[in-house]
Amino acid sequence: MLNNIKFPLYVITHPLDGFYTMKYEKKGKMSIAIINIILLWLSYSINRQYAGFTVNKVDPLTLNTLMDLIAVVTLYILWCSANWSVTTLMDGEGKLKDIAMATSYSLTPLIMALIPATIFGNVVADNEEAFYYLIIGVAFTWFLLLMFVGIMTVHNYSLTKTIATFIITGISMLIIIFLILLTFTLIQQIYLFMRSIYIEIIFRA
Amino acid sequence: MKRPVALLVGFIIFIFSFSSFGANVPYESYTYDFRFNVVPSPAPYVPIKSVDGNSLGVGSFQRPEDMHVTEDGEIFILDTGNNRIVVFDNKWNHVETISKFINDGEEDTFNNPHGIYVTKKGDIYIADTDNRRIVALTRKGDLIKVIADPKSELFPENFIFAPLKVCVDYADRVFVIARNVLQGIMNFDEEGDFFGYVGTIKVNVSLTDIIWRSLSTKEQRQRQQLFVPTEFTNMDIDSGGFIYTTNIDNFSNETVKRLNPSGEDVLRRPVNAPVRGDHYYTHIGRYGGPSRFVDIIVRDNRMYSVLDSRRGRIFTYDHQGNLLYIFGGVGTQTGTFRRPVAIDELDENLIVLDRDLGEVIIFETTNYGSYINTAIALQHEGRDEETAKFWSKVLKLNANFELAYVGVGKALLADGNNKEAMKYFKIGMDQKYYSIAFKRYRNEVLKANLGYVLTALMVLLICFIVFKIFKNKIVLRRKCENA
Repeated sequence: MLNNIKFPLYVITHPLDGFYTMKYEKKGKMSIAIINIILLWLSYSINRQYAGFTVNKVDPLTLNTLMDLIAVVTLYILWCSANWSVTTLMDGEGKLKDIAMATSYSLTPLIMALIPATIFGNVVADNEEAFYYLIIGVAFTWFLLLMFVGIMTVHNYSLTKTIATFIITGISMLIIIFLILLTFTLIQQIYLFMRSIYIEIIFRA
Repeated sequence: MKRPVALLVGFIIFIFSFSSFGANVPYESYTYDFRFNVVPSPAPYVPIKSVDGNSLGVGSFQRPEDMHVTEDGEIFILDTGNNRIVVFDNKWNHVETISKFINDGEEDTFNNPHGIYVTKKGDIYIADTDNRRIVALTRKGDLIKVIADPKSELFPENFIFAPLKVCVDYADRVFVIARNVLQGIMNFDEEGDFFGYVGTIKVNVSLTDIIWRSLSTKEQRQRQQLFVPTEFTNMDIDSGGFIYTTNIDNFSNETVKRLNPSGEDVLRRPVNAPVRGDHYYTHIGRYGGPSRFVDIIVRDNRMYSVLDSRRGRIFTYDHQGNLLYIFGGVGTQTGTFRRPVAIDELDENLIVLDRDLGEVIIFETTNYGSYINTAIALQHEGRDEETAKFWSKVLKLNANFELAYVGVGKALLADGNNKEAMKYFKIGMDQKYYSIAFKRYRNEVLKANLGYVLTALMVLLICFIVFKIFKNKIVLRRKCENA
């Protein structure tokens, strides 16, 4: 159990090795991945609500922890499914589970940085806020690099192919959003059509 | 018997207390907060009466276009349709009417004049639009000079000089906004010779415009709208010779400018809240679109009020560009406008000239408005403590006014009450001052607790060293025993 918890820390410090053992030696656990996402949601929400006034311009009226959860989970699922659908067509070796784990494990630096950054954000004044953004910026870059290495290792891709996959994944995420919106609009149209027929019949009968 | 009387008196007081709450104000006053939310506020000014030509005994005004109030409180109304200037004293008694003057021994009149300005010396400058000239008269009505038909290489051919608004600085330099002159405000020297333009408005061409234009054919391009700067609408001049000017450049954040003598815009605008009137409006309908500023008045302590003819609102800002209050509205009730064209200040009151109604509407400050004005005046003099008193009075009447919180916070900060000041700056959404207060508070806390923290650290360190030594000894002993 302790090894499972320690494993993400190993992955973020030794990404090439870590993602390899995660996939091929089955060291990764989906439960840890899900816990990671939940932790990310919590730390993101805490950051939005409690970061000091100097670095936090969020309108308190817009704070909604449940909406944050939806945002984090939706983005995660969107990314994973988009990447999976792209890589299955591009000879990727990773399964959906591998992608989900790799992505979630690479989020670890962000999770670890957000709460200290929030605490730090409460003791900085003007001019010092650069350090706050530095913490978050470093964590975010680290996360991006990790995800890059993770996707590369999991699918056994070359460097250029990974870059191409990332770009195509971005586009396919947009397409998925578009399709979802389209479906919703169509369903709404059909519903309204049915409803007007129903009303028509009610009034005629 | 006593009880019903008391009840009745109570009831009457109850009823009257409502009517004195300004329920008669025909418009809604508001401000914008840090996030551009519309925040209702008490009325800073209420209309007390409106006067027209008939009630003043001079015959009704025909399309009056401009108005000027001197420092002595003399009111000059430019009655455009009747080609005359009507002068009143500050109690609205008719002083005189100027409709003609002697020019080269002959009697001369005005033709559709649009702008008037009266200097400190009392000289009257009139933008005599359809006579294509500026006329300068002494207060007695004698002609000083006529500025007509200016000559310059800068003008296009067939240039027609049709002045609309006029303004004069302390050195008798004349500034003129003329019809179809897009290069800026025309500047004439004290002799009346054309000197140059000041304050050209930048043209904003968006990326889509450029792409659209490059895709269209020559014929199409000819029929498209030209990218020309918008015209200035009005101006006022402050005691330092800075020109405050308004224009109707839609979707720009620089519809109000403060031009220094070399023509650069030096108006102070807060980073997150540009001086542009309404931040939030509908885009359709008669009253839709951004605010359309038609006049500006510089007030004491470098406050200025701008008049929006689109929705009939008056926006007042302090010298740093902070929005103080908004009031006024278009409508048909008394106290609302149909087509406001000019704004000026008469003693403590603001007066607005309505062209279509031919009326001047007089607004009087309420307690709320005068507290803000006083606070700004005291702040300008640097009397922080008294300023805070007035800001807290403002807060009693309007607990949603961010600027007042910042004002109180500044006084607390000066007092050294940093923690309380932080609270006020946070409510007032002023991160800069919050930071200052926070830094001081942080130092305070550090100073108070540094002793304890260092002691604790020392104790921990000693414990750690002692522990290490003991551990080594134990390890050594074990090794010895094993050996």
